[in-house]
Amino acid sequence: MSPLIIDATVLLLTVLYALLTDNAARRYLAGKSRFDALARPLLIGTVSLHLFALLLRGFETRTCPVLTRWEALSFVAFAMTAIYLALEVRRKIRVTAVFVLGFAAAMQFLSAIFILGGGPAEPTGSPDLASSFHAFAAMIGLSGVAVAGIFGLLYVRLHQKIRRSKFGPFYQRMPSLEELGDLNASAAALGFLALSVTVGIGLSSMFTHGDEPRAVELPWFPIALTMALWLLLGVCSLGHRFGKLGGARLAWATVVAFAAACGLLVSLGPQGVHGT
Amino acid sequence: MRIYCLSLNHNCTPIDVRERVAFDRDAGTAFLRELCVPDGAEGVLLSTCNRTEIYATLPAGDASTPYERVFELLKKYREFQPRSAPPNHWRGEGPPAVSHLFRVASGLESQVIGESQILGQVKTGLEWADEAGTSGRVMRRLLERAIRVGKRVRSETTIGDGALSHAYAALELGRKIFGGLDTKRVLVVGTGEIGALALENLRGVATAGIAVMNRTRERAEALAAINGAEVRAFEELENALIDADLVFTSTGATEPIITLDMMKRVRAARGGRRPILFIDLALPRDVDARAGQVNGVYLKNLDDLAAVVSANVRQRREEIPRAELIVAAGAGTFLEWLAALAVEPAIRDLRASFEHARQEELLLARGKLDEEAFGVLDETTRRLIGRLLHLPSANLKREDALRDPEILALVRRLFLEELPHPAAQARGAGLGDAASVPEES
Repeated sequence: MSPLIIDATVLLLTVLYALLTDNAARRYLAGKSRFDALARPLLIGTVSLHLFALLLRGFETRTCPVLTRWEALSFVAFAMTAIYLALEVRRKIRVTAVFVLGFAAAMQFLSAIFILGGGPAEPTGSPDLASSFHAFAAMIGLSGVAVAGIFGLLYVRLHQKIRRSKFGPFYQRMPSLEELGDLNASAAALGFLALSVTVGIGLSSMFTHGDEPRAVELPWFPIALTMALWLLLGVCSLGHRFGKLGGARLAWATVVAFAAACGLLVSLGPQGVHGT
Repeated sequence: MRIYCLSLNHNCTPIDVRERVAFDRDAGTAFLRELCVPDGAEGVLLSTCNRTEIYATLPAGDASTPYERVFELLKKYREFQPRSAPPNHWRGEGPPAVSHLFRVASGLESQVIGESQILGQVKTGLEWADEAGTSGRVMRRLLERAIRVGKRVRSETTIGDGALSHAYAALELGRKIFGGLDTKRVLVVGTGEIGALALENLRGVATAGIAVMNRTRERAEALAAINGAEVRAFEELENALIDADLVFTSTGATEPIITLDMMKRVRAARGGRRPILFIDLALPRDVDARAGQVNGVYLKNLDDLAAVVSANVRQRREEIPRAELIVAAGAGTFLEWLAALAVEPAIRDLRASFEHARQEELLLARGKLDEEAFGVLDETTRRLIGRLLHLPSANLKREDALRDPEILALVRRLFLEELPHPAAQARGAGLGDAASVPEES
């Protein structure tokens, strides 16, 4: 793809994310909006366009299109929005959109600042299907964690509001604790599944190619953080599915995981998790 | 045509007057017939527990004040003699009357702001008018628009959201925690006046089951039978708490009947994933305040419910400006339509006159043209008349000054009446010979 097309697409996507967030904010603040009918088509349109752009870029680079940290952020924006769309369709809860879409829009905006005018990054190594899946699953996992963390934060805040008998606008606008808990657990489970695939592929790759010399040394911090994140999510998801973990405890755990995921995104090297 | 309104409502009229001027269906329709039918007017009566309001029409040129007659009829039909004549009331004509009805339908004039019962009552008002034969084109449109605006206000603002009574606030709180109550079990501890009220409020609510317990089992059995609930022994309190999700307590105990230790045991037995909500309606309180600190336990008392209610009231008040905008827009649209209605007969006559002239000319041309040419002429003249009359019609509808009855009369004289020739007039009056009259150009 020519740099001009990439820039135009990035710009269009950033505007679309901003529009989505604006609409969601209006809905949150006003409770009801006259533009509700447009929100869903706009959301689906944005996700579809972003997916199309990622597929094109993927075909071009013949790998998962997260060659730089900025591309990774844009991928996270897409994945968070797609996850939110799936949850919204399933649960029919729209009022929380502003929080998830707002975060996704921030990711896309940050990504756009550095992608615009910078020209497309070129893949450094030869295309590798396992690495692509590894990166793809990692991005989905991190996005799942981010969505779960946002719902966790909302759960904790609403829980505290009810506990302290603060029945202001936030209390009135939020869905029930049960529904927030459900969204929180669903997103956490998705994040755990995706990170399991990431870790699985990563470990098998280490065992398969462990003896081969590497162009760059694997950085230990992001990998250790990802493993910790995966373990924490595992405890959350399995504890929720098979044990008694739920409510505020699960919400707090996902908030911690979200913080770790943010740390991971910040610690990304210029060439991604495994770059220098 | 003018619309007027006379309102005896909770804001201006004392309850002893309001209760005497409240109408039932039969009296209401009879009242409307007597008020409107003799004058060919249209009218609607709105009678609720908080208001009796009369909306009716007067012809455009009628400058009389109809209120004395309305009061006379009120006295006749409701047989009340006000202490002051007339009693305190609100009245308005034209735009204020229209805006008032739209505000009423939107719940802005209700005692409980945003309540939705009023919409049904406005519909009933229209039904009464239909029955009385006084719901003409104007009143029907007025009420239909008011209902539409009322619905729009409720769908585009949150003015109707949030419980405004303690009982509903408790249920709202339950829904906020559990999502829905249909899979939750409710326990009512204590069957005094407040416990009975709690059960009464739970009657229409879908739950997984309601259990009642009281120290005196007979009382619990009696209430359970009325409300379709299950009775549990008071001694089983701890086990009942393990099963329940929403608990109302209102015993007369002087010490907490649900202690911190009991709560911890109950919590451990329930498991970590099932929260429990206590609504402690008793004074002194039935649940140890420290029990509210246990994980998964939500404990709310009367003060907390009052806080829910006051937050909801505050939120509804904050929505008033947005609702006012919708009301103003709706009233404006209706008033424009009403104003356009006044010029409709003139426009209709004007179009009929032009069409008549067109048909006459077409008739003359018919024999001189072939079928195709005649078709073209027919279409062209039809379009020409449409274009010629479009601007005057639109302007008459748009411009207030042009809707003046004198101007409309002038338009009629100019286009629709054949005035006698001045010479003929002069001859008729015997004022000299025809030579002195200037020639027609």
